[in-house]
Amino acid sequence: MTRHPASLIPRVLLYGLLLIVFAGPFWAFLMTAFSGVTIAPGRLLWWPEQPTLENFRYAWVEAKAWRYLLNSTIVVLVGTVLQLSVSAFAAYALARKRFRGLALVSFLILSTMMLPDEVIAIPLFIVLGKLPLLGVSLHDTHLGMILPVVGWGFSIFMLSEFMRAIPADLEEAARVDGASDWQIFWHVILPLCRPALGSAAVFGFIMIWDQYLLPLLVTNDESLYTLPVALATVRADETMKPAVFIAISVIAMLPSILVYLGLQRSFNRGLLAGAVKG
Amino acid sequence: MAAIELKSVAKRFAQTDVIKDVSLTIADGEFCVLVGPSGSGKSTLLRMIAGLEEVSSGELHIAGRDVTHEPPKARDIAMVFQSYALYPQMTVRENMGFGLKLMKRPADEIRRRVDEVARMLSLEALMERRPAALSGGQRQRVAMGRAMVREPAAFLFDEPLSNLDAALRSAVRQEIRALHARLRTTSVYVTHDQVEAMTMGDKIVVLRDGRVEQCGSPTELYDRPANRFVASFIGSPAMNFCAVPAGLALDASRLQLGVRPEHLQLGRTPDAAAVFDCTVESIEFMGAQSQLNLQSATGPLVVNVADRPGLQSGDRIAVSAPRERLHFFDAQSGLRLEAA
Repeated sequence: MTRHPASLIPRVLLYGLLLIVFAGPFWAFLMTAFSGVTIAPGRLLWWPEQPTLENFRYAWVEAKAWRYLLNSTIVVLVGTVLQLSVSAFAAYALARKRFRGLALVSFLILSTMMLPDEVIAIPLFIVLGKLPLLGVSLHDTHLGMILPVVGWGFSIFMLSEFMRAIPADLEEAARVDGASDWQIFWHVILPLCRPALGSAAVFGFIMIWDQYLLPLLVTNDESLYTLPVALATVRADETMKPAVFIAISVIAMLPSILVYLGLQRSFNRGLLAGAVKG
Repeated sequence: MAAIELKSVAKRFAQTDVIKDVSLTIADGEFCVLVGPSGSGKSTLLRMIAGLEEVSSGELHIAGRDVTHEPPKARDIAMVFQSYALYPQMTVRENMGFGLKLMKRPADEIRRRVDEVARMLSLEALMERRPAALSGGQRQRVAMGRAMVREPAAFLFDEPLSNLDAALRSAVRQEIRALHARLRTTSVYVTHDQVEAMTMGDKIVVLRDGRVEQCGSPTELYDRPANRFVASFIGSPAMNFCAVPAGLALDASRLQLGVRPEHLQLGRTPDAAAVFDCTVESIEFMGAQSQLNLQSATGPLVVNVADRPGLQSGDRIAVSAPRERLHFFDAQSGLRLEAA
């Protein structure tokens, strides 16, 4: 059945509107970053005027965006791997084990999601200044920016819900086959959680990448700044051209977009997981 | 191969006794079927043998070794689950070799044993497929193959045919029997289907409410059911129960008469010990035989007759049974009486 072209007009208009609303600002952002003209703060360009890479060169070399990108990369890579590991172990225990205090543990993990970052900022600053028992200070270290985000309630609950949906028979079959708890986790549960792990990785990556308050608390050393903290500093610098600031912003956005595109398939599957039987 | 022995085994969930003092010996190489209605505890008992459920009290021995509190992997058993429980992310080959891999057997030995069992079960063409790409019957065979590869001391089957259609069920039933005849591995098989139990078991254990009602060979259970429950559970259609006709027993009021539908004959036969005058209520034609639903003075009766009886609803007929086909049960306890 072929549709009359006129019936497509509202659809095309709607898609065009959505494109302008969602992709428009990003497009204008990119075009401005590649423009050589001086623009007034708050203005964006739809097409590059005097196209140039100078803004990116300046951002990368003079404004030391490479260093901030490196710091962000270290924090996000180590943080995401640790966060996924901790979440998967915790989720397995919550989803598949019965132990005294299970409800309390679940509640405590849940409660970590109820407190805004600002509320725990001062206690966190004090704890990171002198770790209990160890007496070590994590101020001005990458580890100080990583450890507080390793245990994330959202990721734990997402994975535990997914694990709960895995039939108990599979675990029992593995047990009869001679598998230990660790082998069941590693050979049976974890491979089946791949879609959920993909989603957790994307969410975790973006959550850590976007951290602003935590790195700000942990360090005053500019050489340890991550991109979000550096962006705030650069923005306050009145000598910096707005286009350079926008170029740094583009650099800060790119990794999140690339990670999302890279893991998009498993991300979408993970979101839909459990929606239908079978 | 190994004998399995349960000594006064019990299982309690919170305040509920699910398995009550079960003692049972399954001989080396025997095919034992646990049968009973839903909630009778047959699957729980199997899971206790597998080590997937804790034993609350009593002892469990496999191959003469006390394994009551041992984990499943220390029991040298393999289990076929109702859902097959195949690992979806693994191929058929990986599924079958998983147990051996965990035992850290050399790769070439795993390959050889998996190939051997695959040949036995005609799975060669499916080895690189994932479970999602298999039919129900194929999955069932892979689940069996996974159990066989490990060459365990005993096989445990938890209603493995219940997800198959009737035709396939019958074929796989024969396949399992043939495999057992070949391997002679001790097997414990759970089902709620009495036909499956009768056709497969060397020994049948009838369970009700966590207790063993009777344990014996299929013919023993059919010919000499220990009580009314077993008599009604074994055999299809179920045994008829009615009041004892006058003159048939000394203390007729305290007894109940049982007679199987296939043992009632139309008319008054010369050797008849019990005769019932009935009205035909309905006739169910089933091909090789017909089932007559009758109403007698002592209650409803079902009669199985070969071919077509040439009767119709409303007809009045007499049906009779010889003495040796009658079963007498105590009306109070339901226990079978040997002679009345």
